Amino acid sequence: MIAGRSVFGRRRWLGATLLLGALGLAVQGVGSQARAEDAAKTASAQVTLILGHTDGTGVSPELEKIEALKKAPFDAFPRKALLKKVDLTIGIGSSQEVELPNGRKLKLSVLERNAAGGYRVSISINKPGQQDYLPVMTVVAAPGDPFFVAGQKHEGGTLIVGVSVR
Amino acid sequence: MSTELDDETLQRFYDGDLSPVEERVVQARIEREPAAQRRLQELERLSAWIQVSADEVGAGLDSDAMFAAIERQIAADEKANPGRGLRVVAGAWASSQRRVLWPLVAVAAAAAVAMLTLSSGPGDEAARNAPKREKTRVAAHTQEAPARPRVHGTRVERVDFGNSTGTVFEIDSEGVATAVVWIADDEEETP
Repeated sequence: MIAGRSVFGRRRWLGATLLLGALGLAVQGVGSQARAEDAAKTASAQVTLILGHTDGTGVSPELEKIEALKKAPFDAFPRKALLKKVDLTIGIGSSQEVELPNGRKLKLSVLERNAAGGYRVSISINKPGQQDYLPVMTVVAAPGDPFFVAGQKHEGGTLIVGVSVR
Repeated sequence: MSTELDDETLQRFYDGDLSPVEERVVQARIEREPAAQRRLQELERLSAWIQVSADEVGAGLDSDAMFAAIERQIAADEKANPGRGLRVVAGAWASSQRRVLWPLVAVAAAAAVAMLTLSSGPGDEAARNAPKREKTRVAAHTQEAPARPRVHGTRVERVDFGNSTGTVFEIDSEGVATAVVWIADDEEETP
């Protein structure tokens, strides 16, 4: 019967489609899980290098949205220039270094991710092979919220180092 | 916060010896920390008492009469022992005055410390919080502001300044704390 074959053919087609779909979902699920596991093992960090001057005026447009820079003590610098933004991917329990314009190196370590989704990070800022400025500090940070280390001299101004982790 | 504002920095802040930026850093720190506010107020109170005591001691001294008495004593000694060659040398009057003044200043300072200790009891809360300088007034004002719950932000857990001098504080933006560490950079910049 023509009608019977047609129904049988449709069923086979439908079964194959469902099988392929289930297989696809399974593969996608495994991929998502793997990506989530990878994400849990790493953190994205951003180091922002700013040069503040007590003379002159003007703030780099990229810095305008950072509320903390508008308040004391950073409002003591009417001129603030964005020198560099460095994006890093750091494994939990690992470190990466960023070279600062004054010759020192910033070492950023992501120590752990806490239950609230934030991070415990540590940073040090020193000349290579020395402990001349900041031996180490540990910060607990909510995802994406910045903290700052400031005070280094550079080109007649003051370096402001912003760090955020998400 | 894990680190206290050290006495030297607080003293330099009080004396106005910090750079404008450092002063803002310390001022922001004082605004946030009741302990630092209390220490600054104690410093101000102690300084005020010592100043008042020194003024009172100075006002009570008749330096002309004292100098005249010294001269009379020298003349009498010279008359009694002409061979000793006693003479007034430069600084002798000041030295005599210092000898008289130091015990008085010491007593006045001790009295000031005693008064300070007595006046910092629980019944003197209003006086303790009464600002004497603009810096303290700002701090007291901030202290009165209601604390808002923090849902985000960053917090310094521990910091090792090594040989550097640093200050840790927080900037508050609508309930979100931003941790700031300010470290003085004493070394010349590497070319």
